[in-house]
Amino acid sequence: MSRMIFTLLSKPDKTLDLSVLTPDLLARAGDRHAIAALKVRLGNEKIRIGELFTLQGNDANDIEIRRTNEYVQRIGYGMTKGRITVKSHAGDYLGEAMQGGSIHVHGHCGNWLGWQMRWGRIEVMGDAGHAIGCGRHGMDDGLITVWGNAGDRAGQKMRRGMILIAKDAGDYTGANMIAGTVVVLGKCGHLPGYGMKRGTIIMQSAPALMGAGMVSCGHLKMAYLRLFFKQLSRMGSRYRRFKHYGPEVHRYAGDMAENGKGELLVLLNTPK
Amino acid sequence: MKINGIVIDDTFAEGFPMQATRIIITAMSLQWAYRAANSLTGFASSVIACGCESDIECELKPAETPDGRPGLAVLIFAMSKTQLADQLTRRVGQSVMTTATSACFAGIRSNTMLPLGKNLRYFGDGYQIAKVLAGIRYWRIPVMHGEFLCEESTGVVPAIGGGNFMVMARTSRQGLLACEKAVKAISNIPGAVTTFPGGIVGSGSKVGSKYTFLPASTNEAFCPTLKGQVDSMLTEEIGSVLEIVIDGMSEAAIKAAIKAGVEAVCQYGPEKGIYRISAGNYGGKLGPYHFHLRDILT
Repeated sequence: MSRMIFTLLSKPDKTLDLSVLTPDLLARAGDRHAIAALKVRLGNEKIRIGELFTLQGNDANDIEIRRTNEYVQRIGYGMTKGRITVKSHAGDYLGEAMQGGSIHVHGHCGNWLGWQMRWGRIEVMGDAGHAIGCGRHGMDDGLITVWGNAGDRAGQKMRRGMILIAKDAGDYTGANMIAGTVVVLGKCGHLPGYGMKRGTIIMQSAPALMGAGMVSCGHLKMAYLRLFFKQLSRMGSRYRRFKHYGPEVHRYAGDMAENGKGELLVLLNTPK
Repeated sequence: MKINGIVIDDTFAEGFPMQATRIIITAMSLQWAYRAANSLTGFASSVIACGCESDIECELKPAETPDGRPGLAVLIFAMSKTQLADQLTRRVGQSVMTTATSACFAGIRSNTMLPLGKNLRYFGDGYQIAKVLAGIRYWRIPVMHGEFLCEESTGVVPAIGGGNFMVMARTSRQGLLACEKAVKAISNIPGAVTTFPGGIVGSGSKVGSKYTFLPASTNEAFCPTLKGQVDSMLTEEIGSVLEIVIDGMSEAAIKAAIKAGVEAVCQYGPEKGIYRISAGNYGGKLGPYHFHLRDILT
């Protein structure tokens, strides 16, 4: 069995919906001929996969998609198992309603990454757009890691799981959070945790503007962070840096306009 | 059979099935982890009246604990899962959570899990926070020293209680010296603990009593002061009998512990006042696990 590789014959100049290219649906389709006959939506027309891609390999559980760009949307929609590797950039709605498995993006990705995600793991090596891990009811669970920058409203309404942003995040990070954890290792925009009910936002540096509903609990050593960073450091070679992170934080609780049981932890004495 | 001049009786220790769990206690320093663990394992010598049997299994380096702080692994044994769950909540709640800087984690996983932080979280009075890391739920309970961090549940596994051997010596001092060495040797065996004070039983019991309200009473056959009065198991020169009771996570752990303990005792010969080693059993009526001393030592 070798990895199934889909290479776009040409980069699309209009929206390409790749929601059918998941390990679940490809396994159901069967052989390569049947897969090539599956139809995807390009712009407002439906086209056979065989007309858009060249196919190599036969392991539907391990998919690689090449020559994609920001027009390629909904990769990994609803997938429950397997692995998808995107060799280039990805568009909006990557990992939408994902229920398991993993997606790895070598480049950047668009908005609504992990929209309404339920479980699984998404890793984006580049930047991500706005509204990571959001959804009508928020991200249910899973792990999203963005090694670059993120746009506004990362983790809005999220209920469980974790979003890790290795560089800067935009405004309203973790707004209206219900639970879960958002980590921002770069700078953070305005009003993180705005309207949050519960949940944890961990930041390397204080945000540009703190909401009026976030109240200071002072400088503390959080025993939980020792456990958190130790577990995080075991997740792979890129995560090993977290073993140097300490438990000292400036803790803010809020949003007091809601039930105020959320927390915003600004890390102190951590490696920059 | 004799080892270094010490007679090994042709008898067996009789073990019985128990339920056990392992928890990990961490704290700011090993000293404070010991304070929590000593409090938890205090008054946990025998299920006869303590509700459970418990002891520290081993020390853990920071790299071996979930939160990277020094810690201790503690084994707790009870006769049923219900009893174990009850004791666990009481003891972790009153002994570990009350110890400054402490945290408590599961040391074993199984299909059946017993509540740990799941029950203790209510102490947080609504301010407790649940966090799931790597599929494991932890509870962060705000307390006066900061936060008490506790894993949601811990595993429960079938285990064995009642492994034992008895050391017969000329005097208590001589017996105690040998038994201390034995307990130290047993402490190096993973999955086995000696739950009595110092690991040594000074008042071993038999099942039942002439008094109907007592489930256990003194083992008169091994009491040196009753040698002339009862059907004694002791010879003239024996003036003190000490028992080492071992609970283990498996038969192999108990066998290894008995072997290590007896061999440590046998380093003291009759010239140092140690004459015989025997074991306590109830004719095979108490439990299905029989640890024959001579088989283990050969």
